[in-house]
Order: sequence, then structure tokens, then C-alpha cells
Amino acid sequence: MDTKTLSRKELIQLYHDCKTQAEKDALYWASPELQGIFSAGNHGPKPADEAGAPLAGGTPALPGN
Amino acid sequence: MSLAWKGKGLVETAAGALDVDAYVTFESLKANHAWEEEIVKDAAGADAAWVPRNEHIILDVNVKLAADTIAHAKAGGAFLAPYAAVVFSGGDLSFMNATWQYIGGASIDLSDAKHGSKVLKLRKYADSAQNTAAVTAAT
Repeated sequence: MDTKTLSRKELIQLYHDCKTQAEKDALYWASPELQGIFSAGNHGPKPADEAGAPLAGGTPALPGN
Repeated sequence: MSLAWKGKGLVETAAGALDVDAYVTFESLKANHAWEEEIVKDAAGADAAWVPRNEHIILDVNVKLAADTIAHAKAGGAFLAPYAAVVFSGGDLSFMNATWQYIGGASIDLSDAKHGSKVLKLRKYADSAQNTAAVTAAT
């Protein structure tokens, strides 16, 4: 699969051209560069990481010793 | 339509573009010169030394949330991250065409029967090395 690194200009264009807010949120939280350009306040909450995310309302369990 | 006039040359437009806000329409620009001042007094209490530190320009960019489509107009109605780098181009005055640091204080105004608008406040340091540092992410 061909991959291409987007320039800052292309990344911003892609962000602005998202059709829905959900698309925009997903792109934003996937891109540290976008997070340094646009405020998190424009977006929905950050999705929990797939692994190692704390359970809602709780503290992540530490490995036993 | 471009306007051609006779007589004295003028600078009368708020021309420009921001890479982070590609779809807004420029309305007005206001640049202010500033620095942090330290004044040292002599033995008699009179001002004797004037030290300007952190010389910089603050640029207020006023835009309309107006674009080719409603979706693009809405895209302009968003805030930037603190201290985001903003590339300004196409300005009538050359000092404007540079990378600026967003310093907060932005506002978005919406009201009935009137176009939406946004104000951005940007800073550029006179010292180029300082300005580069101000718009470069820490590593």
C-alpha cells in the first residue's frame, strides 16, 4: 500500500473538508500535529486508548507484587 | 472587481490568508507594536536608562465566517490550540507575511440576522530566533 506523509497545509485542508463532526474528531485525535493547531475544545472527548485505558470511574489496576 | 484609483498610492485592504483558517473572509487587521520596558533611575530619581525587552508585534485579525459553502463557513468557527503556529500570507504589508504565534483571546460572535465573525490575536517577536522558538513544538 502506498503511503504519503501529508504536509501541514494538506493536513489542515483534509481536516477542514471532513464531512461530519465525527470524522473531524477522529482525524483530530489521531493526529498530534492537528492537536497542536486546533483546540481540543472544538472536539468531542478523546477516545480511550485500546490498551491500558483506565476503566470508567476507576483507577487502572497495578500489576500484583 | 479590483478597484483602480488615481493620485496617491494607498494601502486600503485587509488582504491576507491564514493557513489554519483557509475558508474565512478577511475583514480588518490591526497591528500593535509592544515590548516589556524596564526603566532604571539615576541617583536623583530621574529616568536614566530605558531597556526594551521582548519586542514584538500583536496582530488582531478580524474575519467573517463567510466561505464558498456553509460547511466551509462553519469550519472557520473554531478555536486554535494555545500557542499554535499560524502562517499568514498575502498581506499588503510585508512584516505581516510570517509565522505568528496564537496567544489566546480569540472570540467568535454569532447573532441573528448577521454574519458570524471571529477575532484572532497573534504575536510575532522582533528577534527571529525567539520567534522561531515561539512557534516550534518542544521536543
